[in-house]
Amino acid sequence: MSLPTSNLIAHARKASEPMANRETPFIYNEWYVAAFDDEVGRHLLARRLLDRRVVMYRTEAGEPIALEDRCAHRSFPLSRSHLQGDTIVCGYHGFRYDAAGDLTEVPSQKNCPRGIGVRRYPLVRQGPLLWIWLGEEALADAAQIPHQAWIDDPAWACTSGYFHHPGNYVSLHENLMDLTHLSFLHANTIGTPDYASAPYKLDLKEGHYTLIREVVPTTLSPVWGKTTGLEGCPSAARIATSEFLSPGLHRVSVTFYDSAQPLEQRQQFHIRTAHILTPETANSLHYFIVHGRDFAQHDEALGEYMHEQLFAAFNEDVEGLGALEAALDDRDDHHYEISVASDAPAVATRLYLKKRADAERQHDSRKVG
Amino acid sequence: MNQHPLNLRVTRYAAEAKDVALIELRADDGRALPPFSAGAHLEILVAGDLPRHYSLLNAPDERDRYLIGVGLAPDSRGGSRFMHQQLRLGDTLACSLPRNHFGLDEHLQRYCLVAGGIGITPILAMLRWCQAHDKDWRLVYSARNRQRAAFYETLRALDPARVQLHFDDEAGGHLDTAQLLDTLRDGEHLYACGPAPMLDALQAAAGPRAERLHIERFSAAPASTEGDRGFTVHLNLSDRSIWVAPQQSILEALEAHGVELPFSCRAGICGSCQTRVCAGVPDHRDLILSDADKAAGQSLMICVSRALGDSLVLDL
Repeated sequence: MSLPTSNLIAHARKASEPMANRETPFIYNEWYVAAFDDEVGRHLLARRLLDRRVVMYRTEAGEPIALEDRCAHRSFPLSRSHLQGDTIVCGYHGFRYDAAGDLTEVPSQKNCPRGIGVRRYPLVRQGPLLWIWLGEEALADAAQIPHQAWIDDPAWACTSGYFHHPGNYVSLHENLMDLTHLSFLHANTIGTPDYASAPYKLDLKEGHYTLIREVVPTTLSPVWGKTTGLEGCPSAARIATSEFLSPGLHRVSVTFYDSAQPLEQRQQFHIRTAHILTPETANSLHYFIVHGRDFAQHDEALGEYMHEQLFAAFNEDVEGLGALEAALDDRDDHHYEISVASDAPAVATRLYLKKRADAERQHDSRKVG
Repeated sequence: MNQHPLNLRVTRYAAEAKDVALIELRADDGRALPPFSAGAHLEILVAGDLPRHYSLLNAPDERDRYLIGVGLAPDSRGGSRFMHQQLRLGDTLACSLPRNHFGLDEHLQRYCLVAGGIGITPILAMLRWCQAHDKDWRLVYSARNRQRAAFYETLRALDPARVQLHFDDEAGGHLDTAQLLDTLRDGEHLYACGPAPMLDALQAAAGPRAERLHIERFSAAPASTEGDRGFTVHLNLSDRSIWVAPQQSILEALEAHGVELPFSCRAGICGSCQTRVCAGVPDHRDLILSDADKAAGQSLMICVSRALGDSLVLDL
């Protein structure tokens, strides 16, 4: 039996130190998805985002609002309250807040104090997604939202879903950045055995990490084979691009074609998945997924089949990473992790996430909501 | 997980040769110890907390004890000095489970076992395994003089046709490693352990026989980087020279100078940082290159490996 030498472990620990993990504080100065647009309506929706308690609703005019879910008086959750028009009436002592988060009435006294309110978070709709800014107000810039135009594009047929994921968001970014797990964690759904050993290329730019893996020739798993018509084709190609786009967004794009066909004649099938990660607590996150295809857009049965198969695979991630999170709970002082070659983009992503988190703490960003 | 879970008692302590102590370790309750294969070593915490490696020299089929031989290093940084001057019969030592980075390929036809100085320890275990399995083996043992030759009596009792003893003072010089390599027969692999100059000479002369050469380097403290020296790397393509400090890896030194290079594990196990060597002799510290590749010295893992001399020229 070989156990790693203390030297190797020392190297491994030193390499891990600057990498983000489940203990790294959140990066607040970023846009994250708070909800699907159709989740927010004329009712009070409570959600914990990056460990902040947030309440959301839609005004009568249709504008989505996000406020701190805590009455300024005695901290009662505003989500356990009453929405009257565009006003929240606190369920405890009836304090009233308007859509700007300002206190407008205190039932027990005639004069309402001015200049009191709860924090309002910028909430911006793009396509079917509501993006929220929980960081420093002055830094909120909607132009920085990593907008996915394809989701709204009629050329793409999209389906979406949500998982309450029992794991930390750094581990999920890693899971998405290293798709060699397809051959193993998803052996029964979307993985094929040849995936893990296929060659890949990296493009590592600060804040934008890309891995492109080409699996050619291959035979496609049923979900892709059946839907592209390439089922059983021994010369199929599966080109998968994994991209870390922001702390709250990872995108996977895959192209399928028959490599035996000449370039000008071959039909290319594209799918894309927006993996949207919004941390809830240090050990749980909101996992929003939007998946699209640019072929057979009007075939509803195909769409449903693809959605069902894919989400069965995504559920394997949720269960697998839930088990991982439990294993991380049991770490002791002797814990270490080693990286291998295909971890390079995940390592780069984690170095970046920790750098951002450390920089925010250094600049002393306000944690108070 | 505790890296040193075996608390073993020193049940024999003897002077084996000049500056060589033979130490026998057993479990207090007499229970069987974890098995090991020839070439294995223990990592032992000496003087409380210094990790040091010692090869097991007894026959691998012995399950009740471990035998190690400790040479007193003249420039000891505390390890061998503790073992020679402070360790006593009856003391206990915290030991790792046996580890083996120098295992014998058990399917070979012929084994040429080469030991220099205290490097005889893993080689002796290999010799005992070869004897037990009726293999075609021979031993070449080089020491400075007879007084320092550990296990001299044991070795003299073996078949003299198989054992070549070389004493520097009597031979008027070091073992001729190039000539030794020329005597390598078909299907014969060479396993060597001993001082760095002997192993360097073997690697340098190996040529096409490199894939049949297996070495384990002994330094007084292989697990520690305290003895590391600084050296220079010259970047061939960009014509820059960068100093690598003793506590710094080549990768770290280059990054500190704004050179960004691929990496993943930063521990010598993944190969991402493998860099071509244009000149100089690498001091390989990784766990991924084959013995042949290490001997060829054409590339190294810059996250952990260093230079044997004062400089390396890298293809960067």
